[in-house]
Amino acid sequence: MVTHLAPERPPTTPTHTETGLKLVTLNIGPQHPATHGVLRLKTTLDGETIMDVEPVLGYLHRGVEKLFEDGSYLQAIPMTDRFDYLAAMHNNYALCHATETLMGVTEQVPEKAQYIRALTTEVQRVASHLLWLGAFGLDMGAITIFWWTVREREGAIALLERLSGARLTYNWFRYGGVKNDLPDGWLDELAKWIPYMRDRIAEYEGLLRDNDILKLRTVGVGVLDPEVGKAYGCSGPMLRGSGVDWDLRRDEPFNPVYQKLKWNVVTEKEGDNYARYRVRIREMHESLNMLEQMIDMVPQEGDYIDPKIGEGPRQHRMKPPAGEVYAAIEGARGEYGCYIVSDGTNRPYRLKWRAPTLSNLMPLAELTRGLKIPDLIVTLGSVDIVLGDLDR
Amino acid sequence: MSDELPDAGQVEDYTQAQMAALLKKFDEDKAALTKNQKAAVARYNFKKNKGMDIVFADSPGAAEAKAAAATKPAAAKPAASTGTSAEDILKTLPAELQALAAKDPAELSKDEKIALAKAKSQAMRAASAAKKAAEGPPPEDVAHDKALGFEHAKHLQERFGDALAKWQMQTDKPYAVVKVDRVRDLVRYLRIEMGFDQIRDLTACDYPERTTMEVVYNFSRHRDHAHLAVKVILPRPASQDAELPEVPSIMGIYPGADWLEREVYDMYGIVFNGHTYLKRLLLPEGWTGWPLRKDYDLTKEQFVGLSETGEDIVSFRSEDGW
Repeated sequence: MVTHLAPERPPTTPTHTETGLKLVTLNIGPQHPATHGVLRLKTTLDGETIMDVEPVLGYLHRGVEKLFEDGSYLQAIPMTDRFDYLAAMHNNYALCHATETLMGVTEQVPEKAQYIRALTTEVQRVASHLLWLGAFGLDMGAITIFWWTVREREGAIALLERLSGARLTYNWFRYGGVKNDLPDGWLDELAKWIPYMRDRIAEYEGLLRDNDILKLRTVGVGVLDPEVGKAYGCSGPMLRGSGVDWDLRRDEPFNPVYQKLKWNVVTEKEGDNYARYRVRIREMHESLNMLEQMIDMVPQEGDYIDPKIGEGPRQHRMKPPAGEVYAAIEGARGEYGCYIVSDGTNRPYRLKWRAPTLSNLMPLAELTRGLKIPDLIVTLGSVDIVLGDLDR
Repeated sequence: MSDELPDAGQVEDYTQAQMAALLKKFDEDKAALTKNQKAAVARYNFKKNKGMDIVFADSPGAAEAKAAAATKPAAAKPAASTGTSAEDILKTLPAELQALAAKDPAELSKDEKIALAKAKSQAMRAASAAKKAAEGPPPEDVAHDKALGFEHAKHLQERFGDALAKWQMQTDKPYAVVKVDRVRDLVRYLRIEMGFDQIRDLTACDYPERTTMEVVYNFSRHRDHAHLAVKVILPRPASQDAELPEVPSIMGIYPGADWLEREVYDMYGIVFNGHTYLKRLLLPEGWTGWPLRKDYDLTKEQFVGLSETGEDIVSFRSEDGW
């Protein structure tokens, strides 16, 4: 049997250090709509004030990192779809980028494939932020915004569905490119969707931006210090909401297309829930701007996958050289990273998934200490967690 | 009928009319074709489906194409003659295997064939490795020099050289192997003096063949986009039940290491000394074994249930949980 003993748990009914009064332990979840999945929050309360929050993870753990070791690199791609199922393209991209870096073929990805990758990544980002926005409103009791954003998200999902045939788990990326060429008329559909989406985002802004209730619930609540955020390993909108000017699309270029576009890294310096909301809204605008520029730049001719790596069974037999790599891309929730150890066979020896929401959720106790329970729900919503990503 | 068609595997060996006849025959009666002829049909179909130019024996560019194809093996030959050719490899094999190789392949048993093929490929690999080694410095030295080419790596080597066992490359980024007892000093120096402000990742990997386990840290510095990986190499416990290896925790330096270290403990059973709340992160506390180690027994299912007091129960009996 295992000789190591589990450390002592904190007492089940802790007492307040100053007053000596008994504190209350309240379980939120794992089956609770406010936890966005099957997350359990073990909160310690003094009256209604939060003294401590301990997230309990693992209710959706599927052991995918073990499964990776039994399949080929190609078979790993559809499994990554199931991590962050609201941004499956970004998961695909992280794995493909890391493997290509290990093989030293990042330069070989054809230009057209790079454009298709950037297009799908940005459409996916808008879709993901839309669902986040709806759920964030729902956390504060605003039901209208949820209907609206879920309705408009269908447009983004329909675009990606036309490419890949799936609504959420796309399995669209391949090593050295993507699965297929763009279908006829896809860019025209995208061109129609962009101005429509801009109008809709303006509508959401009219509903939320100067809304008194939203501001009371979010401004100054859940403030994350930039240095603390970095030390926790936060990334994406969570970090940019604290004024850290860091975006892997610009700072660790994984796709040369982003260097050809005119765009800005969105930051807000306040670091509270409202700042994170602002960052995501502005990022949607940036993504739409990028998409608009890319439509005219996509080359008509060219390969959608590197012919040297090839398609189908050749992807199965692909053997990256022995070695290790850590590489990451900027997705909707932050840094989707991949640590791969290869032993020179066609199966990964070890494939570690760096989940952005795991690091983003870690400072939750620090953000909410001293606040009330409803603030905890809003702060948790602003972190934008996806349980598939958190638990893997 | 097949006598009229050449018995060759390349599309270029057929005239256009011959190819048409071959395709017709392929549709009617596949079995009558020779192996080479079938290969020619497959090559033809592949080229056609890919929209590639097809050159026949009677088409204008045929002579050039043939000449080009003929020069290819010629170009490859000089490399083969430097000691890695099939005959040379055979000479390095043990006597009984050489005898096997001299026999007709049809006479060999399956086991003998496998043994021969294995020995051949091993000898081949050894020969190519020896050739590489003869050409330049060993790859480890190259990686070491390359890693120290990074400015931050060089700085760290000057300041903390005594704590570092070696430098290597993590594909495009440098990594340092640090001695276990100096981990916390080094990481503190990275965070406070060198300004590595973000912890990107913390994970582990199990190498039963080298009897080691590795803990891998990835840090990055925002101001100049520098990336540094640090590794700790630990002795590997002999079995799942053996005493757990220990590493100092860096949770007090990077709070983000908290859950990542718990995850490594959960999956590999590596104890992080000084962690304030080291328990399993994803699996329930009563789980038996360390799943991501290579010797974990996947055939033994474990079931999770809930006790009356709300604690997780883990059991090997299916009726205790789901």
